[in-house]
Amino acid sequence: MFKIERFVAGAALTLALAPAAQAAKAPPPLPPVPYEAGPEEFQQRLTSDVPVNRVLNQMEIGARAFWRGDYVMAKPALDDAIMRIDAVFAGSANAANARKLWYDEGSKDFKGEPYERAMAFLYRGLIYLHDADYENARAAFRSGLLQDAFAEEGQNRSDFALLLYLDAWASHVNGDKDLRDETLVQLKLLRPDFGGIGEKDDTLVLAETGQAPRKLGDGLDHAFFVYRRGKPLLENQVQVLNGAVVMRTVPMEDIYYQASTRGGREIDKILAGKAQFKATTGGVGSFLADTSVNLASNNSAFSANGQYGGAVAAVGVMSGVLLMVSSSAKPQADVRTWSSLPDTVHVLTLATKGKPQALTAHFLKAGVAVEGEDKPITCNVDENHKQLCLVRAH
Amino acid sequence: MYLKSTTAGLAVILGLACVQPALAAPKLKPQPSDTVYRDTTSPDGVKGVGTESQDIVSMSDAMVRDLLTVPELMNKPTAPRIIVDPKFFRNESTEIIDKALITDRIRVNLIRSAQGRMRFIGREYAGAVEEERALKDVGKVDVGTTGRTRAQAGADYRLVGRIGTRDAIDTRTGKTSRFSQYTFELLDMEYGEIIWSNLYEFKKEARDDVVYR
Repeated sequence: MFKIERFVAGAALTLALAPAAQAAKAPPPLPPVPYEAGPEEFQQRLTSDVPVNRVLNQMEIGARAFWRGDYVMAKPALDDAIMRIDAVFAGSANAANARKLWYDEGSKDFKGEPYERAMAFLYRGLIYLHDADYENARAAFRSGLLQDAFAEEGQNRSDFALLLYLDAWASHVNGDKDLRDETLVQLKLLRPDFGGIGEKDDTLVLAETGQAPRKLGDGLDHAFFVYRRGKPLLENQVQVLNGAVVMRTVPMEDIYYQASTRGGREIDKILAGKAQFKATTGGVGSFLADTSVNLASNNSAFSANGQYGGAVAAVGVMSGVLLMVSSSAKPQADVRTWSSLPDTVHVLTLATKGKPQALTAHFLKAGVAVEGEDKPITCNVDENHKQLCLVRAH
Repeated sequence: MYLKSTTAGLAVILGLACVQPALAAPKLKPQPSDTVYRDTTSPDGVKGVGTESQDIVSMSDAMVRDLLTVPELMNKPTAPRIIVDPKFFRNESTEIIDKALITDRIRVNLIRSAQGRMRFIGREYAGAVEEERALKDVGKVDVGTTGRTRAQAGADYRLVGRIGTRDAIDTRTGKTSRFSQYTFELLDMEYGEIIWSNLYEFKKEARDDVVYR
């Protein structure tokens, strides 16, 4: 009887420590920030948010500052994100924790899924293009393609057509026609209908429509996530107007497609194991709890004052321990998302002889014009008289 | 009694397992550390498959040593003029890199080692020279102490080259591998002949944690 009392006391101590176990839980994700809010909120988060979200916050700053035309802010943010994406986190304590039973996947340092990492390189490459550093722009686009190579499904590896296209464009404006043509051959396999880049083209128009793909927790204890298109999807086509001249852009990349076709992740197997453990310990704990309650209430010999009352109490405490173990296990998948990405990216190249263009964008959905005024396209001519023109639907 | 002991032992194990998260609470704020100087030839503390400071130091030092043995440069009665800048050192790789880190180091070390047996043309600063010459032409400033020349100096040779990489990724193991090759050549700026070539190459492999695959 004395041993049972000691056991009960030990278990009670364990239960008393249970709240401390909650200290392992990462802070809840911060609320989403509307795209119109700009990068300032995320700059503030760099100092207030947990360090494991640093890359995510830098990505948000990078994209939002980029589309505001604030390259001075966007450059260091994207450089910092890329530096950490490129770094190898083998041996990182946070990465090791994410594999443990007691931590959810969100406790790891965020690097993003392959499509998010690729987009960080894409925006940095566009800034290199803006700065007339075409070789580093090309290197950035190629690095983005490598991130896409981590897709698990073979047919979807390195199929990021937009990055191939921009790689070819960087070679084109750098005068490396051999490299441009090599890349266009690869692009042709992914986009057979694409007409290519004109020899005299010197202006790139890049337009973004729609909202970022969403990651939604799914399955037992949200141990994996599924992708859904960003909402609302108000437009999916872009026309470029140069006075009375109307030009159709090419929808070169569907970011949602890139996100949703990468296949299962290695971490999903670990998370599934965690979810299974959580379910098993929870199930056994519940069974023992029910059993002890039934024994105690149905038979005087098994009640707390009867002959086997101590054993019943021990089973009851044991069930509590198992239930606590179950509740402490964290199989949740990481659903942190780069929220300022688009749904689709459209491109167009023009020959303008380096003259500044007054272009506007007209947005449509399934061929029908969307409500609202056309948007002016921002064009910048670089030192080599090449132009980068940018517009985003919202 | 045996049953009780077993149950108690199991409870202790489970108890310890439950306490573990509390003991291993994540350090959400990394501990700050003082800035420390590192040897530029030491491996980077941050791991990846890209070019590190030790690669830049090693390759530029190796090229300087080799260039100092080229007869066309070292045995001329009149010191040859050379341009060493990043303009024609092409980056065709997957790595974002500041090429000037390499060419500047080669030029500086060559100037210091050659001791006047080679002359170096600062073509990337031609605009600054042109601006000063224009001021002298219109008499806004005097001619200085070295006198006037008909034009800026032309070059006999120019350092050219290429950065290339071959990347491979094993999606099964998450291992990434990068072979990097830096090609350096000295181009005769009149005849087009390549009078010297050398390579610097390295291959790096890394495997990120499974949580990023």
